[in-house]
This record gives sequence, structure tokens and C-alpha cells, in this order.
Amino acid sequence: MYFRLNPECHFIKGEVRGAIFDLIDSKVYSLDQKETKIIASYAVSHKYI
Amino acid sequence: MLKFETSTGNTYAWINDIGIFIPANPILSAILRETSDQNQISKTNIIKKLKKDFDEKEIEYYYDLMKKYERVRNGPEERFKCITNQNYKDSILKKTILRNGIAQLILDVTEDCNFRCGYCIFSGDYIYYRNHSKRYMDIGIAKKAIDYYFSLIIEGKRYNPLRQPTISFYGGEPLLNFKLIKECVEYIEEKYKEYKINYNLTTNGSLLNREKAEWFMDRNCHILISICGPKEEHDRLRYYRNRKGTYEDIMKNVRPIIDDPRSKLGSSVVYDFKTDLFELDEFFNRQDVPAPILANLVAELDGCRYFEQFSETDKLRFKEQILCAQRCYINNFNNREENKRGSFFDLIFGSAFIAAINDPGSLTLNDPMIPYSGTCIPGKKLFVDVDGNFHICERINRNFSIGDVSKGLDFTKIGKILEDYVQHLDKCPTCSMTRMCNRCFVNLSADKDFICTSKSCRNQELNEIKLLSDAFTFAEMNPKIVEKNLEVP
Repeated sequence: MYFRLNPECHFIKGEVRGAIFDLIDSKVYSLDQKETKIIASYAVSHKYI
Repeated sequence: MLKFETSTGNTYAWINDIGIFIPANPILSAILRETSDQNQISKTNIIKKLKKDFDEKEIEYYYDLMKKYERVRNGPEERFKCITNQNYKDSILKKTILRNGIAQLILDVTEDCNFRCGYCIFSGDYIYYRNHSKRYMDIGIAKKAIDYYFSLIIEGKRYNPLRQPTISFYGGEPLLNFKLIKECVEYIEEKYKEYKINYNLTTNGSLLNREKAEWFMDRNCHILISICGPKEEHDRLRYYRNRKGTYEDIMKNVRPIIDDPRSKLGSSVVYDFKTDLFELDEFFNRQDVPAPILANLVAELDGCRYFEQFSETDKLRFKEQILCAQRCYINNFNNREENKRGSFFDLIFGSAFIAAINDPGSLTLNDPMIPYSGTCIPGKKLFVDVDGNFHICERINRNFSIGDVSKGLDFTKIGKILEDYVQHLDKCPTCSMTRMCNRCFVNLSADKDFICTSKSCRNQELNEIKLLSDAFTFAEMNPKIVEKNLEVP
């Protein structure tokens, strides 16, 4: 199957871990290193300022 | 919900009201079926209804997911509500255009051309389009157009401060009026020197000698040259009045400048039912040919007679060829040689796949002035004909004028065109692919009117399903390229 994040979900990759921001539910899902690595291999990380 | 299957047997669905692709599964289908009649059905009732067939937790998960999207859902009724309340006021249109429009000023510097290509929209085979003529734009009209364009850029700064002016030279063959192009650029360089201008030239390449090429390269101009493939194919499609082929004359001009680091050359490719696509792909991999930037099948517009020359067998053979080329492209994508630039197949297949997945405006809606189709608001571009009339773009026939260089944009006319256009979108409210529609004024225009989508979009949904199926097959094999929207390769 082809995996992609739903359009309301934005992946932000930090130095070590990452998070997914759900802009409809206003929820933040924290990812551990392993999860971050999996998501980062597919999804684009949005830049944070 | 529109389901489609990839060649690997996976099923996905596109939910148009929301704007998402999801893996299609029986639970989701059942939930959507139960909730499709607009009746509010509670989670408990759905679970009660479906639990004999599915796991309760999974029903709950998918129910919550759909409920979440209902908060951003905007069905056909809501969209039409938007336009019926919208009366295309001049002030609203002006503001929209100042914010999102005037991306480009296109000067039709002449209606004359030294070529007589059979497929050209000005060849006489397109009954709603002008024919070639000896008419040239004069510098007075060009200067007025430039001044008006810059006045809009200046006025629009408060809405769009970072917009860079873009000036394009179009024709006929624009280099037949090179004197005017030079005068325009000198005028802009003198009067608007504080701006960084993007220049574009669309040319057949036959008059682009070294001296002219140097002049354009010095101004960082993007040059789009119409090249239709190797000599035999190019000469079949692009020829002089006496039917003599034009390939040699163009390549003689292109070769000396292609390796110049200042040159920004690209090929615009047109093909028809007799084209060998594999031959074209091989040709555009050559480093001595400008990379393909645009590639299109000859325009099949209302009132076009060009396609009368092809038999049903020609069409069928071409369709088979497209399928075969596409299959080869998908299967061999990972095994191909590293190439620094995109190939012809990347352009017609790879980019189309990526666009099919990434372009549909997920979760966002069209501008309420145009609830359906992929068209722009007139004023996105400013196309100026030799008489100084403004038109929606260079591709539409000259019966949809939106103002002129003396009086400026006519917002009342723009409003009327929009109103008329929207009235012809009769099939759209029931279409399940409106968010991925790329039809515009050009595709729907006839003589002085538009064609209803119920007539013009008959096979559109079937074609889109096929495209999505191929695009997701490609995405399963190359997820990174699609997700990261990388340029192929």
C-alpha cells in the first residue's frame, strides 16, 4: 500500500525525534526515535522557524 | 467515494467532499453507506448495525475519522450557496486580481509567422481562432500595455508585495517583430529599473541567430522553443509555407547556445496520433536538445478540424502505444540510467502521476467565484493582442476580451464571463472529481459561449480513474518521489 499522511497532519522533524500536528483536532502526537525514522522516510518534514 | 485499484491489487478511494485519498476498506465503505443519506446516525447505532460483520473498535475508529472530516466537509449544496450569494462585484474582482492575478503580461507582438504548421491553432483548422496575418503590434500599444501592467503591480503591492513582474513575448513568431521586443525591454529597463523582471520568449527557433540569442541570454530570458522530436517527426509537424521541414534551421540556431551557462532553453513538444512516443523519449534524452518543459497532444478543442485526418485505427494504435509506454515507464523507473534532467516520459507520465496525487486541493475549496473546475479568475494573466485588447490567456480564442490598453481591465466584463462560465458547470455538482479537475475556459469555450460540462466532460471520470490507478501504482513503487514532490528523476 502507498502510505501518506492525511492533509491535515503535518510532520515536524526535530534533531532526534518528531511530532505530527493534527490541524483539525488540534492534537500533537509525539513520536519516538523509531517512529520518527519511519515517518521521515516517507513524509516531508515541514520547516519550523 | 470513488474507488480505484492499482495493478498490485490494492484498493484506494478518493473522497471528493473532503479532499482525501484513503485506503478503501469494507468497514469504511459500510460506514459511508450508512451515513450517505444525510441522516444523522449515532456512533452507537452504527456500531450496533455493523458489529456482526466488523470489529467494534475498528468501526469506532473509522466512524470518528469520518466525523472529524465532517467538520471541514463542504458538499455541493454549500458550494453553490457560495456562488449564488456572490454577484461578482467589480471591487471584489479587482481585489482578487490584485492579490492573485497579473502574474504575467503576455504581448502578442505579431500575428505573422514564417511557419505553417498544420496543428497550430492559427492554421485555419480551428474555426473559432484567428488565422495568420501580417498584423504587428506597434510600440505605442506595447508601452500602454506595459504601463498598465506595472500600474496594477504597484497598486497590488499591498496585497502581494513579493510578486515579480513577468513579461512574455508571444505570437505568431515573435522574433519577426524583434525590433519591438527590443524597444519594449529598453523601455522597461529605463522606466521600471527598480524591478527584477522575468522575461519569457516562446519561439519556433528559426530566427534565433547568435546575436539575438546573446541579447536574450544577457537578460536572463527563458526561451521556449517548439521542437517536436527527431528530424522526420519534427518536419512532419512543423514546416514552412512551401512544406519544407524546419528541423535543420532550428537546430543550427540551438546547438551553439545550448551549452552556454547563461542559456535557459526548453523544448515545447507537441505530438499527435501518428507520433512514435518511444522515439520522442529517446530523442529528448540527447544532451544537444533542450530539455522538454511542455508536452501536449495537439489541442482537441471545439471547432477543430485537425483530427479529421486520423482514422479510428490511428486513434486505437496511439491509445495502445500510450498504454505500452506508460507500463514500460512504471516498470523500468527504478532501473533506468541516472540522467541529470527529466525525460519526455517523466514529463508526460511521472509529472502527471505526481500531480494527480499531490495537486487536488485537499481540504481547501476553490475560490467561491468558481466553485468547480480548475480554471483561473480572468486577470491571472494579461494577454494583449496586436490591437491592444486584453484576453484571459494566449490559448483562448479572441471572443472573450476582458478590456484594453486604453481603458484597462473591464471588471464588469470579467464578472459576466465568470457568471456565464459557472452556469455551464451543470454536471459538476454531481461529479466525484471536482477537486482534481483541470478544465478551464480554454477547454470549455466554443465560439462566443461555453459548452456545458454535461456535454464536454463525458469520459472525464473514467479517464481520471485510470490516471489515479496508474498514479498510485507508481506511488507504491516510488513513494519518496511522490510524497516529497520531487522533480522526476
